[in-house]
Amino acid sequence: MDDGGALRVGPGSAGAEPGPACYGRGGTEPTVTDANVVLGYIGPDASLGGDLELDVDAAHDALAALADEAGLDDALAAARGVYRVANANMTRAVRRVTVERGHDPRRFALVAFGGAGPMHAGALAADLDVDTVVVPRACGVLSAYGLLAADEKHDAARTHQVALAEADPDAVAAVYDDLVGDVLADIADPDAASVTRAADCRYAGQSFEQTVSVSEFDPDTVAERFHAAHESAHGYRLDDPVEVVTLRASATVERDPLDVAYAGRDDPVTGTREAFFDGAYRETTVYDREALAPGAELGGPAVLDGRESTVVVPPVWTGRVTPDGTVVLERGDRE
Amino acid sequence: MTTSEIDPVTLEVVRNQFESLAEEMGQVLIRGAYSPNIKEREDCSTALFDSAGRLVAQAEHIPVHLGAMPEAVDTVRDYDPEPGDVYVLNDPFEGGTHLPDVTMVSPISVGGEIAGYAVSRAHHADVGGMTPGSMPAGAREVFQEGLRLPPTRLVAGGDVVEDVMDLLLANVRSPGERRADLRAQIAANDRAEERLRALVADHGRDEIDAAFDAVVDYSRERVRAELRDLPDGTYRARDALEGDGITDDDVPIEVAVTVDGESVTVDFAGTAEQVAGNVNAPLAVAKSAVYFVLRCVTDPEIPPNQGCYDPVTIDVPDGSLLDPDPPAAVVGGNVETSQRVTDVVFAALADAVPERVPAGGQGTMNNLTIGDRTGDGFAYYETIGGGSGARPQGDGLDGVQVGMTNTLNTPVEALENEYPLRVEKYAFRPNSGGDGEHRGGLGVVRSVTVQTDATVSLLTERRRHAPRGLAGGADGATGENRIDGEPVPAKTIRDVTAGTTVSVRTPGGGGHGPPEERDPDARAADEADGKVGGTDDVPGGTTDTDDATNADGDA
Repeated sequence: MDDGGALRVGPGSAGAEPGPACYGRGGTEPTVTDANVVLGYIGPDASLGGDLELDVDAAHDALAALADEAGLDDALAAARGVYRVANANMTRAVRRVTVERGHDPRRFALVAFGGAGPMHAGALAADLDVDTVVVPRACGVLSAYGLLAADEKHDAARTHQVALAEADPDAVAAVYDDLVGDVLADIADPDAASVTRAADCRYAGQSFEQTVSVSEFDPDTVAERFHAAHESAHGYRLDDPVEVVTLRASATVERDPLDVAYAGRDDPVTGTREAFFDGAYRETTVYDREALAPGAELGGPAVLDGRESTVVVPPVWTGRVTPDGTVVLERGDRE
Repeated sequence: MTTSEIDPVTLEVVRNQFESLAEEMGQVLIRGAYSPNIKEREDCSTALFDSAGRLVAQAEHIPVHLGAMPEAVDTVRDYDPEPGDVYVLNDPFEGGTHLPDVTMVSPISVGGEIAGYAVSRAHHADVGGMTPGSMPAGAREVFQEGLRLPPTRLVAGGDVVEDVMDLLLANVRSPGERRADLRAQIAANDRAEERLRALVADHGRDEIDAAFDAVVDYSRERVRAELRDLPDGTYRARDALEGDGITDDDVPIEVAVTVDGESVTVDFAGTAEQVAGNVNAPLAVAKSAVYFVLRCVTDPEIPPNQGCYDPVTIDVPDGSLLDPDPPAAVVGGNVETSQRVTDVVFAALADAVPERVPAGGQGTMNNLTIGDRTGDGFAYYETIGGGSGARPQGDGLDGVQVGMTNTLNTPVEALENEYPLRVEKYAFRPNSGGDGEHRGGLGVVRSVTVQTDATVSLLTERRRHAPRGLAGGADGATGENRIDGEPVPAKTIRDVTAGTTVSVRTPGGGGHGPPEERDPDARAADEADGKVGGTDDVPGGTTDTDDATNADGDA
């Protein structure tokens, strides 16, 4: 609760130690995770990726204390409040990068990742009028997965400010040699790397540059590429002197796509539990996410327990599993 | 709220698209420009108007451009512009405000029809006239202030009209820089056309027109609702400029603001007749100041467009300081008179909305122009920040632009790289903020040594009448100008030799609330920061030197 009597969620976090009350590690402040436990989205026997044993009673106690302070009826009311406020904060963040930049969120799918993202994504999508939610298989460690899947790339740059017409090709070549040496230095097999060179140029007088690629440093070619790049970015070219500001080199080693074979197992349904949707606790099917086979389809309300995350499928949403294990949620109440 | 047939999400998306269109225009201009006043200080604005000439979205860079852009569009529409035209203008008596602010207006054609107008306005570092930098403190006629451009086609049928461009460049001191800045402005307008065409392709012309209506309706309703919350009544205030650059006589500005239900009338009866010097301000300046203050006392989140202005009536006596007849000199009106109009309208509304009105800010732009008269010489122009007035909720800000301008400073590195100038000192002025429960912001001192023979023009205010405290707060410190250590008048033109140092001490902001109610911890923090106590840097009592380099010199 803040000074103005409003319920605030974040930006402070309980972290992993002591963590949410439900971790049973001494935390007593109610957290979003505790609210998700009370709402039934996180099951009592979830391990949250480790060998943690959830203390459901501690989550209830923490939210009951919050309810007292806020003048709410009970722990459930407090949990609903925390969940709604957290969703409102996330909705605003999504709006900031879509609506406020002139992008209509209704034309996009929402990608949910992080351990908790898929628990909120359905509710956020409903707020934003988004019809599709994509939950990648490695959603709990998506950034790390991306780091493994991406090409290896090294960049180096050095300021070398000179009028293009007066640039000494030998001096430029010497700088490029240094830069190429730098970018290849940390690559295990330099022969496997492809190297590119570029120059940041501008009309002498401007303060902002365009980057143009350079193969062999020839002032006329660089000038023409700059004029073209400027025309493409700004809509015009000038007959004015061009200057070089920065020289750049990059080395890239392509990496093979990761092998992401995914099979699933038989009998993914592990049971049911009470989870809160649309104003009431409802009997909700619980799946083992890792057991869902490619092509599997399911309807909400459902909860998909996984090692890295929990996916909440609200009523009227459906889910299907793609060949690589991605879960795609779609809203079923509209064409 | 709105009668238009457009769903709320689409409206919000399209409104943001209009605003991002205006912002992108500004980026094209800033990235293409050569002069530091545009590319570093961002002394420019860009806007989108609908086909009826109503302001729809403005990239809010400079408040004094708020009211000026609609004037420019109204004027150009009288010339029946055709697709492919770009009109350039700066005539203060025909859509402009002062000569350095060069405006371009172009119809945006979609499928051969005019779907809207793109407008860009930038303060050019030189437009000719009697002094380099075109901000002559002693001008008596607009003819002395530079090249006067009534609405003129700089681009016709999509091509630059080279003889107009040549005429223009023949009348300015740094033609190479001007050509590039003008070209960047044309490119900004072209970008608006490209973006609006894409929006029409995406949404259809009908939906875009409906969105224009809805955006304007929305702002109008929001402003009306805010005005209804203000107590009805007539609120008055009076203040004065410290001379017109010819004499030091005070030039009074008077206002009566009448709030009546959901509309407001701002009447400047009692304001001085137009003056012999250059602080006359074309009508658009008073409009900008009034619109700005109303934005401040209502919800500043309301999108600024024509709808905000519909509930406002502004009455200005003909032939007065605020609606002068040609050929009045006007260059100071846009930069200094505009500040005093802002102060006086704020002061009037302090009684109506005390919780939203700050104490007086520095009330000047401290215009410093330095240039040489040789060949393809240089023209440096800068406005210098000072103290903002303390607010009902907190201290004023130190070393910022207030009121009608919102520029960045020219970074010392950029300034020294671009011009034969060296910055000796750039520091806050301790003790310059007015005391109070909330302290006024600090003024700054900026000392620049000229490394070649040059002409210096200073156009400043609040050197005699201090920025006012409010609700029991003390006044801020007045400013002071010096050339080689000797105090010089607020408005000065001087030819100087290489090695001369010009120092500008800018005013501090007024305080808010009784000083005895100031939190002792805040006082201790100010002393620890050197903002209060220690060496007093006030006019007449200064003990520091202009060439002392100050380690904390970034304002």
